[in-house]
Amino acid sequence: MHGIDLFVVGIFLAAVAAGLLGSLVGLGGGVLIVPLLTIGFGLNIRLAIGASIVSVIATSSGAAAAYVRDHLTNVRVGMMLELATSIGAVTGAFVAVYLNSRVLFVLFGVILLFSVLPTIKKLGEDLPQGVVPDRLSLRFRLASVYPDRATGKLVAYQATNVPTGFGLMYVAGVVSGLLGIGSGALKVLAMDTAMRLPMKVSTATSNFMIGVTAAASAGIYFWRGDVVPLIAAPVALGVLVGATVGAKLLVRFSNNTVRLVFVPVLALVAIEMLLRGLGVA
Amino acid sequence: MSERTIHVDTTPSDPEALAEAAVVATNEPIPGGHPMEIWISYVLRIGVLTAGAIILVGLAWFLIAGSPSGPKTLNDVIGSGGHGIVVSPRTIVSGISAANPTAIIQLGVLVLILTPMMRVLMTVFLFFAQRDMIFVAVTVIVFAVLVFGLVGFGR
Repeated sequence: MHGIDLFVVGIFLAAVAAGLLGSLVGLGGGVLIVPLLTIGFGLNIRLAIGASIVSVIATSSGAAAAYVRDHLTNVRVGMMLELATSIGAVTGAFVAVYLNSRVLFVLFGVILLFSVLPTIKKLGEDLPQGVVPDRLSLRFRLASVYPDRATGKLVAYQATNVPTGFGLMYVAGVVSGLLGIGSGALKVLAMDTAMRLPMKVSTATSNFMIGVTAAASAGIYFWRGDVVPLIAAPVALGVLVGATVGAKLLVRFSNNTVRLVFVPVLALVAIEMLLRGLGVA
Repeated sequence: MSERTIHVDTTPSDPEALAEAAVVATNEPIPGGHPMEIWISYVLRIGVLTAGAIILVGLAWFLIAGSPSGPKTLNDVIGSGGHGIVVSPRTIVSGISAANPTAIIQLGVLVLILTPMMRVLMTVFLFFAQRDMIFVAVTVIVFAVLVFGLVGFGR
């Protein structure tokens, strides 16, 4: 085996681990791929982001295909907010060229720290009570129902604060396009906390949206040449394998134990990225 | 579809009435129940599997046979100055006809990028079938943004 072959196989194995860990902790593989390729393999952050955004499409489209079965995804909310995330993602990918890679490191560290928060402290409510739909929610008929597993009944819910949710989603799109991640944490924040959708609905709808958001910026990275085939291929295949195995393992393990072990690791990775950007490390 | 069991004119300040309205809506269509949505999920799955298979073929080919015109050293992969080599439809086509495995990987990546776009396009028809014209418009705009993202920026 030559140097390149070892390099490719090494990236593949690392990506399997990232996909596995990501799905166990409940974050997409993307937030781990970029630190892995930059800190672990010493690659330029732009190429890491290019490879990462492609892997985000791969894993999220696999997950999004399940939405017909889960009956939790609110397609109308998802589509409406994809308006904001896709425009944001194009903006982010476009702006990324003009940013110094150290700025990207700092931003990445900040977003990673922020993404870890919801895995520690549960944000949002399972079924928010007394949600008064706003004008846009009524206009776009965003209210819907989801089947409750425990009671077997359909539970109706409302959406509110659509403009705030839309604004946050634009930011989520920019972050996704800029850093090559799914920015699921920001998306869930916009839907749970701002629009007050039930937790299960916002998580499922976020997964549904991530692939489209990522596809909006991936083309820009692709033609620019930042999606290097021999980096992107092992990353995409590895994350796909890791995430699939992770989803199977999740059924057996309580993911609280997994979180306790890996959240500190993620926090350390975030700090390392921050320090790199600031030129300390 | 337009039948809504949740009465939105419920006194908004009365949380109890809202909670009551939010308990059960029996004749509400279950989300994800439209037959077309099953087609959409098939498209997503087929798209990802096809892309994954193409990428796997390209990568395996590279590892087994190497690449005639492709990267020889680690530096060739990473590119000078950190930026990769600009890609265009022409470089992909000529790469594939020259049996270059990295061009095959690029084809797979392109299929992967097109997969969510296909889903959005199909959702346009889903909303059309439901006579939901506002959402036909919303989805068409999302599709236009995606097309712009794919072809809108110079090489």
